[in-house]
Amino acid sequence: MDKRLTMPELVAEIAPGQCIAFGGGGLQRKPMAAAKAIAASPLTDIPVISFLGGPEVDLLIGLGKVRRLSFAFVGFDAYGLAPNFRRARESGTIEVVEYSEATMLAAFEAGAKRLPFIPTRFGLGTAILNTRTSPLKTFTCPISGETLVAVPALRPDVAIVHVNEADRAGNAIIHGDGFGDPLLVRAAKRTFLTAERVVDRLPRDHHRRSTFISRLWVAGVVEAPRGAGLTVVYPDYGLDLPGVLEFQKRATDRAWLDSFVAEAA
Amino acid sequence: MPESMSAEFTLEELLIARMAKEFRGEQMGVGATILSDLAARLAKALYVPELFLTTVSRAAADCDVHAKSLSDEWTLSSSARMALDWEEMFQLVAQGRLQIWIGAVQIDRMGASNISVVGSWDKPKVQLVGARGVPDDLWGCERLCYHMRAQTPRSFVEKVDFVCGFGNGPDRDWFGTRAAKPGIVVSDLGVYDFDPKSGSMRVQSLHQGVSFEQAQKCTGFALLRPDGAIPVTPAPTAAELHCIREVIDPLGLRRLESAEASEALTLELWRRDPNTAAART
Repeated sequence: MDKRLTMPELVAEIAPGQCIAFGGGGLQRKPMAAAKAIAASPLTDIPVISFLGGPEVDLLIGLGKVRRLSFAFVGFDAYGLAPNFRRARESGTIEVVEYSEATMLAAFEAGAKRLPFIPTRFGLGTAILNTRTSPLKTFTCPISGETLVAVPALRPDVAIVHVNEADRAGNAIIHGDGFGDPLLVRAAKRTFLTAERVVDRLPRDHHRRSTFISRLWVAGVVEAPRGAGLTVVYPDYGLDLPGVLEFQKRATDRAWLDSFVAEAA
Repeated sequence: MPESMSAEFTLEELLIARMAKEFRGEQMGVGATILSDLAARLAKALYVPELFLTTVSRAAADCDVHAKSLSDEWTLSSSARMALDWEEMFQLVAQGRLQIWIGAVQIDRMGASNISVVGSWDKPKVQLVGARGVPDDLWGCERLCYHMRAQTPRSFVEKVDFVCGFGNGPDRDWFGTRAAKPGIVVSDLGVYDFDPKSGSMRVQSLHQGVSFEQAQKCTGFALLRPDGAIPVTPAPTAAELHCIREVIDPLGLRRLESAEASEALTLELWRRDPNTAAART
């Protein structure tokens, strides 16, 4: 079984109007090479989901590619705010759906279990329930009688997750923080991985602290060394901090952003 | 920083030592800012050896006390006992096993907090990072503590623009006692708690050289005074200062949350960080 494909083939798998979800979190393990390939494609008006968004969504927002963004966080972690996300929100040019972390994970869990919603107490009484676009609803629990939050399922058409290592069948290992990715790949209709390395066989004694993704969840694998670009892939490479700070300063300049996309990932 | 802060310790060291005092027991200890991350490490090093550290990376959880780095995974991984996946983490949160210091942008009189937007949500004046985990931590933690970088009338407000975590008052009364109470708030001027009767923010101590009038001037609502004289925030002990300077932050990353913070300082510390080279391979 060989699920390998090239980055252009991955992008060609995405139909216009399909919802794309990105894995990773903030400045960690972001599928930057895939985001750049999408940025350079004719795809536009994309509904995007990012649990903890970073430069991958900021890039696509800056190029005017994102119709709607669902998120629990968008930012550059300890290094500040995401410039295009900020500008688009403050000028009212992007529609967003704001979740909290646990409610977005609940939405993925409902998607993975093919349920209409998952009940939770997280988020109750806070403003994320009352935004204009919030999908969250409160209801009276039929068991306990208390007020709970119903989190509707999220089922992205396509999930793209960057991993350290994958085999040709799509089994994969993530060594650093897995974030929402184990749930995301199960919620998505199709998942594509980009991998630092595609190997014949994953090591049998892979690190006991690593996240494992089964090939049963995976439609395709692209070998993409340095595929997380500026962001961290523990233990393969650290943050490109000068690059991140330059992105933050210049990414709202369209000419700079076009040249950033044109650079090899 | 207050003008008369002692030359023997910095404001950052004072805050790290003060925040460390709030961690207790066999709980997950998290600091979402640099200073509160250091506070969790200090607490584990000196006071709460059973504290479960998982601040920077869930993939390197339950680690020993290490010197803080801008590439923390490279050091924390060497002693981490487990990876904590996010589902298990929120199950632990739901069962009251998290103690956290949150870096909020706005906090209000009744202890509601905001890290999402300034202004209206529909068209924000300033778009911040989004609600993140605050609405979740609210439903599990016994209380939420806040590390506010700069106390001003724009950060200490009568009412937050967007409620990420609600405070005392009608919301808490309606939803019952299950939600986290607002706990301790620290800023560059003082330490605050909430009056159990009125639910309103009250001075617990002010840092050396800060007057009540000064703190009040930097607050967008009427602060309550404690009974009697206002205590001075206790100075860090020699053992605390030694641990901060020599053990948990020899590189001086605490300066990134001081008045001298700048992009140049960030890059300088990043270049000097012994892990940067290791992480650059």
